Amino acid sequence: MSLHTVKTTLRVLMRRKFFTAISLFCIATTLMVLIVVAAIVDNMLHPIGAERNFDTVLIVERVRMANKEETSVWSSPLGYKFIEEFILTLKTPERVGYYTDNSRQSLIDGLIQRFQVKYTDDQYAKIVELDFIDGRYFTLDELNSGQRVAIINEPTQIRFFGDQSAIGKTIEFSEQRYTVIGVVRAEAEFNKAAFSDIWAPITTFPSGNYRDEMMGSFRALIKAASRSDIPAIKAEFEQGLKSFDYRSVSDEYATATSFANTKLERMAREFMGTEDELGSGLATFLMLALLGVVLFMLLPAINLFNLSISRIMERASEIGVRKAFGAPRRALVNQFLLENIILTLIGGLMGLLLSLLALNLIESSGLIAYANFNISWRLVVWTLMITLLFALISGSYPAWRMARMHPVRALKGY
Amino acid sequence: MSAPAISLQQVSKVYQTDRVETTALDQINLTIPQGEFVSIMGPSGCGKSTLLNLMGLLDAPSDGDIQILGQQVAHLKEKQLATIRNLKIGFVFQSFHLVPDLSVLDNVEIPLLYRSVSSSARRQAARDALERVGLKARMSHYPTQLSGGQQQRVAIARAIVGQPAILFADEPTGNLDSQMGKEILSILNDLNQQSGTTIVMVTHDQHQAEQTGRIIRIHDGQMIH
Ligand SMILES: Nc1ncnc2c1ncn2[C@@H]1O[C@H](COP(=O)(O)OP(=O)(O)OP(=O)(O)O)[C@@H](O)[C@H]1O
Ligand SMILES: [Mg+2]
Repeated sequence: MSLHTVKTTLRVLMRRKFFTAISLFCIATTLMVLIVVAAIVDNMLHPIGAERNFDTVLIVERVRMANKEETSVWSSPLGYKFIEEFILTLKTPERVGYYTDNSRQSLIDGLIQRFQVKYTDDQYAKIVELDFIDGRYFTLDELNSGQRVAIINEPTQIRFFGDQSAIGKTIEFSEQRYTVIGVVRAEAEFNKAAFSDIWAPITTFPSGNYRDEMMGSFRALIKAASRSDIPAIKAEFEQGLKSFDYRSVSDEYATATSFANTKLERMAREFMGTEDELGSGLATFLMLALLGVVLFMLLPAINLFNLSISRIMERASEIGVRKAFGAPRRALVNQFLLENIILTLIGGLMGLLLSLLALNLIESSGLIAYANFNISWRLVVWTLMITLLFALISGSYPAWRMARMHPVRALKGY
Repeated sequence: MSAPAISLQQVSKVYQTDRVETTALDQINLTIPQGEFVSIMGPSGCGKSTLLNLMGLLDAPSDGDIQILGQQVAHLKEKQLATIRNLKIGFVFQSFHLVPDLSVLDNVEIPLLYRSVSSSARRQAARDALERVGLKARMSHYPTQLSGGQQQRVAIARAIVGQPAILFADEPTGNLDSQMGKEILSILNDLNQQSGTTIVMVTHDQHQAEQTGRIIRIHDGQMIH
């Protein structure tokens, strides 16, 4: 039965070239856009590189500080003082680390080039699992003694040294010379904790003023031993913020608000603009995302639906014949649904191929620095399910209509 | 004695449209024993197709009782009617109604798709049926690649592939020239003679009708005796 249906479907698709082309185009482009967006989001939330174990990592990026009357409000990335007071003192996490992002210039062959430099501590590399091609990360001794050592990523090695090894050589930025001790694979720009061109010990930061600031350019990473520890860590962090006496730092501050977010929460906060608000708006964010997907798929679904409906008449005689020869309704519904599913799956496959092409294009365009998208099994399974859902939504009613046609009328062709 | 193939008692069919009510069939009483070859004649619009559709369980009567092979069908559900059509009844239509997207062989297989038959048995049965109508050589052709007469022979193969007890043919030669018509009729005759299939055929051709066992004449929805 189903082999017959598959064969019939392919014949029908081959014969109705116009219908097939329009349907496939409609399905393939829709799914391509969805897959590309989903792949980017998936790679942001579940990266394969240095942030691959971030499902047990909380990120603290911002702090909002205000005076008692809430007449003066500041919101900024963290200062080192903040990290010292509220992050390094945490008891529940397995470990904590931090980094600060800076843009630096360097002169290479007489040309000024820009680099992203992360000043970090020793724990950073135990949370962000950088992929070393050569050399190593700096040690606690090197950190404590302020050694000017640097880790660079592969593209930076090529920019400075071409195809030669970088280990032991020096690079210069911020008018200081650093010895390269490690080379790592590049990380995509959207993996904010792992993305950088150069890593150096925080103790080599050009000025020491940062040590007294509550607000600055730092971000903290909190690694939990397991996912189940996350609520306790959040509670401890919140408690610390609440019980602190801010006047000991400055008369201007009375309160500080800050959140330790998972990757998903951070994305929701960025999208919803709730960085400094108590609720991350995660539920709303997920609802909006779902709604967006549904709305986006609605148009092509309606399109396909219309095409199917208009084909009912064309196939009236076939329906009449099948009914006359004893096809039960259910068999006809199944046939037409299966036809739609086959069509949609072909479209889905084309969409998947197109999206691979599009993702490759995005990678090579440099639109997102060092992007290297991975199509995960999770994504493929989701795509498959969405495609099937799409087929069912666009095909159910037409199939039902077809199967309900009166055999005599169907044979007469109306 | 076995039950009659078809038995109608006081069967009427009234078509209700917006304004008019058409009585297409008016209290028909008719019994067709198994193995008979009957032709139905009458002027256009007298209700021949309507009668055939009722006997073939494609449509329900407005009034009266229908029995197929001894079984009352009035209270049967759609699904049960479909099963009877599938197992006991075959149809041949004036305009062939082959599925254009399917090969000749696939077209002939259609009735067996709705039975539990293995695909190899289905193939074999379809080949045998095509052999009977002399079209085995064309089984991988598509309907559009065949002449009208050949298409109708494929349609007959499709109607007999499931070895139905009853075959309904609504003007099976209406779209064919007289030579083709003769061939089709002789195939139907052979089927009736050799397999004992009950055949009910609507025709406008007096000469053809005379070759069947009995002629039923209808006028204005009523049988003429
Ligand atoms: N679906 C319908 N709705 C309303 N009236 C109908 C319908 N089908 C048939 N009729 C009417 O019923 C009557 C009988 O029609 P039927 O098709 O049975 O005639 P017929 O004898 O087969 O004619 P022909 O030889 O032209 O095929 C006609 O008057 C026709 O107009
Ligand atoms: Mg008729």
